[in-house]
Amino acid sequence: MSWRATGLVIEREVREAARRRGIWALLALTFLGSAALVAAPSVLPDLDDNTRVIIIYEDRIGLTEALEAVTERDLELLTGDDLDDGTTAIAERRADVAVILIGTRRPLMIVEDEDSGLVPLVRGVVAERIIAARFAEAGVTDDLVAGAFADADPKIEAADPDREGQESAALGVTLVLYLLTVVLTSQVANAIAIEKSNRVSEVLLAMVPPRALLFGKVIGVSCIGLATLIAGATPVVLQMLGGGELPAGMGRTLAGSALWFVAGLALYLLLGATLGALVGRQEEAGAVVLPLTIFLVGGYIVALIAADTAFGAVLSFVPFVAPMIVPYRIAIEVGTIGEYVGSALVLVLSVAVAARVGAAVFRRAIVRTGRRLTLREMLTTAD
Amino acid sequence: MLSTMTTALEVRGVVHAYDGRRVLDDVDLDVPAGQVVGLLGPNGAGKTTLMRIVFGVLTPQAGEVRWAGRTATATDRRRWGYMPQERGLYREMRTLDHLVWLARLAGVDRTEARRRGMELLARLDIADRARDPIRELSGGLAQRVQLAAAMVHGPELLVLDEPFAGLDPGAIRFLTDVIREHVAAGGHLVFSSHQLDLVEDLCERIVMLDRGRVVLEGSLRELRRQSAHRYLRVDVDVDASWLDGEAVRAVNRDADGSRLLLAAGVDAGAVLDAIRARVGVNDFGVEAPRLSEMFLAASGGSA
Repeated sequence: MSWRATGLVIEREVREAARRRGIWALLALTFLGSAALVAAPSVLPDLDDNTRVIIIYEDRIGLTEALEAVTERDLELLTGDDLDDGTTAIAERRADVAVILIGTRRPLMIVEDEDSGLVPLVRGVVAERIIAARFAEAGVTDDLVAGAFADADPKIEAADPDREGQESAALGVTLVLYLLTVVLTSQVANAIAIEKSNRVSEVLLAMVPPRALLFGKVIGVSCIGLATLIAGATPVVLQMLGGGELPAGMGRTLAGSALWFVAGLALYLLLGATLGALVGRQEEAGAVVLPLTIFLVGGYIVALIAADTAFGAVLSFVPFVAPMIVPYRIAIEVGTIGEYVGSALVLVLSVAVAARVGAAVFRRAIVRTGRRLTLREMLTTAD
Repeated sequence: MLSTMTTALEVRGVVHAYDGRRVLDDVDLDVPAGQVVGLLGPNGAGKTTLMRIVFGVLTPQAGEVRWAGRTATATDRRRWGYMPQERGLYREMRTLDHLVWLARLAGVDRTEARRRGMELLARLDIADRARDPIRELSGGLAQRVQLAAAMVHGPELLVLDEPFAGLDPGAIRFLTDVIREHVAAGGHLVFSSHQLDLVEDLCERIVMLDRGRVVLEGSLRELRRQSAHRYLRVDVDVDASWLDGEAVRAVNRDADGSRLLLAAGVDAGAVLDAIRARVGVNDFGVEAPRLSEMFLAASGGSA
């Protein structure tokens, strides 16, 4: 293969893409979108900002002191004298929770948002103070009561503290690969179809080996995808350099998935370019890559719902869906080294076969104009 | 047939079929330096397929393409220039950038490619459009760029597929001049056309194809000289009944007058006298057959 010719085809793809405003708009949007996601947690307000509690009537159970001692939230305490004060304060948004204490009757809580974390917090404190008051009436000291409550409050530990981060990493990597592959596969097929319909490929094939033309186009389009990826990753990298941390499992997922990412993209783009050469008209490019899109969508769905099952393990060896499933399995730490190695070998072998067969089909199909060709006839007929 | 010493491009015994249908059948083609060679024939004769085979875009089922006495290689082909029938350019690329890129693909370094590109655009009178995207050029100007694309790397052989299709008379004259300049400078050139009468003044050698077979080939001057057919052209409408049916085998009338196919050995002066006995003639001439007439004779009137 002529590396110089391949390099020139890549150079043209990248340079012409750089001239298009649409590409710069896409890169800018990707960068800004990623920057917004990175900055969102520190910039966006906490949606559950409820902190104001109004206590109505008489606080005989030491609720005020108990709420003042709460450390989970910085509470603002108000008092009211009338039964309606609670409802009014909530309606006028002066308070988020109203606690109405009437003698020994069961306390009443009026709340602005039932789902707010403030509600169970205040509810727990109220219950604790009432029980403590009853125990005090029975002669049990406050210290004993406080100790009993402390021992009764179970310590909560996550079974797998990294699981959430790992799943986020898996979702992120798989989603990026899926979106990038769908967009670039369609793009490369369309570009080849255009070159075929306007006969540019005929001029080029007189100077450039078909393999160089095919690979140059695939790598060139991949470079544009890589630029998009870099635009999206830059805010994350900058955050890391500024002392931020990657979500748990993200680093391992990225490193472990790199091969499936690159090989998967190569496989789909090679097939997209090959199928693009079969079209009779440019408008058929979308239809001709539909089977690839179906594989991609199927692989993505299986990755989301069944990556950690035996079915997912089997699909790790199917090259069309392995690029979606294996990164997910790596992220959530299922599967074995042997499985990963086997999957990688099958995938790399598939890329090699796709390159060889794709180049042969491309060479035969790119100059056969007039009608849409089938893969079978291009594989079975001579030049 | 020319010897290898004088013929740079030789196509020998090429056979090619699509879907079992033979589109080229044992075709030979010689393109010597310094001569304009026309590959002629009706649509579907196999001209474009032959050109694709010359450039290695298609691999023939039999036969070979030779250059300078040996089988042509990819390196040889990179030194040739090809202009396809339909415009093979990236429409969004800037004119000069496109030429520079194609020259670099052919092995020319960037600086030299740029110099050649500008020089060629100036020669083709489109230097002021160097930075314009090709999509903004008119059909005629895009055709010039297409020609420049075929010539920018200084090819030893130029292969032009239907270069005159769709051009206005001014553009045809311009392209004809460029072709003659290339050949006069010692270059090799072959072009295809189905518009036989349009290109007969340009061709020095011809290869005529019909349904994939060579039906006529050689020096156009020689072929005309050797032809048994002679035509008498007069600027009046001639009625066949005025003439001896044995002496005049056909009378064709058009807007310019009449063209009479004379039987072999007939005295054109006697036929002219017979016409002048009926009507006054201001302009006349005895002519060799036109390309289209030679084609019809060679193909048995199949086209």
